[in-house]
Amino acid sequence: MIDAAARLRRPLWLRTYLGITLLLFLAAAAFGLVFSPRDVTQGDLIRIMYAHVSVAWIAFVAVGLTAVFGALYLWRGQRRDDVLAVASGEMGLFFAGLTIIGGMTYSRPTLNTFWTWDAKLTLTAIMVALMVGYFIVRGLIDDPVRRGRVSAVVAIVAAASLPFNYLAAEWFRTLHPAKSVALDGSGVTMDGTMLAVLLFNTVVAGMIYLGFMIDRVRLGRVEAALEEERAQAVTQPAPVGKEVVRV
Amino acid sequence: MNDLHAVLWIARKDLLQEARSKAVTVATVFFSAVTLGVLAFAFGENPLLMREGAMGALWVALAFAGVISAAQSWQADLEDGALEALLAWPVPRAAVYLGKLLANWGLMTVLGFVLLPLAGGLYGADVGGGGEVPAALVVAVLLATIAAGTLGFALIAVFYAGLTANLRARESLLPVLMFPVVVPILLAAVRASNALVGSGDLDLAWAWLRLLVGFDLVYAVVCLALFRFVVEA
Amino acid sequence: MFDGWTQWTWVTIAWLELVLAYGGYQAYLSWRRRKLLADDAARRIIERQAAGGGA
Repeated sequence: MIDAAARLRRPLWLRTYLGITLLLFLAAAAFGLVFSPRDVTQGDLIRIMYAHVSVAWIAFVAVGLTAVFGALYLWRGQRRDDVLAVASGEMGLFFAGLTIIGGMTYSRPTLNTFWTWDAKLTLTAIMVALMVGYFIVRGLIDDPVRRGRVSAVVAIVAAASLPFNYLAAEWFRTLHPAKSVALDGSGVTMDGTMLAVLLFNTVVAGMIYLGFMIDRVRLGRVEAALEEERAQAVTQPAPVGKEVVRV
Repeated sequence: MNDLHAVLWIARKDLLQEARSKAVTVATVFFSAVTLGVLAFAFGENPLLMREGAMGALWVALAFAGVISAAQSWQADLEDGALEALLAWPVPRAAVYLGKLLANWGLMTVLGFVLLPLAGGLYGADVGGGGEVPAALVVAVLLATIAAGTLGFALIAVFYAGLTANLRARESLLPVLMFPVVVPILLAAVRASNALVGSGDLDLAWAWLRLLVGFDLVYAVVCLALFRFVVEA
Repeated sequence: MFDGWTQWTWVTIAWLELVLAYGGYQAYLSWRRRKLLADDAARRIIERQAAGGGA
């Protein structure tokens, strides 16, 4: 029998890692908010870029990895690959949603509107829709093997659409006059400090992704183990003379 | 029966089923008429908007038709247990997918070719072309655009229709899964068609057409490779 | 409504979004862990009752 409580407690190495990540996040925020220069055009609003762009990049990595883990599951059939896939999928949805909100927060003061059909932001919105579909499909299938396979397929098809969606959104946009300020920071003349701060923030966002992933995967593994235990209990023959309550 | 025969047999079976029941034809003709009519009404006051909206309306109609057609193609088999029989056959799953894909693509392309002059007439859009570009060439590329666009759409529609065929909430799930994936096709197809119809701009059309063809190639491979994980008894 | 807001207001909101989101996700994970343990405990009770019930 599995001691779920013990397996869910965070071991020392994990707590240390999460502690370090928290400290680095505070440092990255300090650099972004205080120890970095204002921008020539955007002023202090450039500080939003550090929070927004770093999270955006991690969102795409997370979704890509969902497809990779899904493909691994299709190939090897090991439950742990499916646990990795759904964890990364949650991360993808989470970071993509955060990117959208951050994008709107960035867009309103700089471009005077909450939404532009900026290629990267449009792509992120499409990605949210794709990941929502992924989770709806997972919710509709009870058998863990079939669920893992079908959702892996959905993730791969979704990830494959991203380059095409990006190109379509980008080309669609270039027919209209582009705004002078791009929301991905590319229109900004970034000096060395800014780039360094952005990269630092991105690395920290990646560490947060990893930390959340480890937490989520540990939870997922216990869920999977308990699910298998339950399945075995149901198929065991009833002891003679005793009633068995089917859970 | 080898694989190619199986594919063609399935395509033929689906087309015959449709010829007999006409379920898809009736639904798609109805939806197309409604779409074109409503959008014409919406743009009506402004002739410029009408001309520019013609291809958009056409592709909206085709998109609806594609979803209905793909969903119906699996439902018909599911109802009589024919799908299980089909899957029990010793042919690769991909052959079943390919057969249905061909049938659906065929239907959608025919619908597209029929709707094209209708949309053109209704919206006052004409096949453009300055002096140098022969209208025949523009029309040919336009027809190729329709074929490439409907292929991309059918690739995803038939694939996801198969996936959702035995899930609950399949009617609402199919568009939810499909549309984020087919956005590039719809965008590219509308833009390419617009470029051809408005000014006969072959260069611009070609840029978008490349996206369509690229999409078709990538997803033909992806869907054929992954289909066997999608339908399991 | 948003026109009067200063740049630092927007910057603060953007960074607060991060903090709230990260905290929120951790809260979500805690909730899932608690739910898992509670469901598991309930299941064990039922199983024990079923196994010992006929005696």
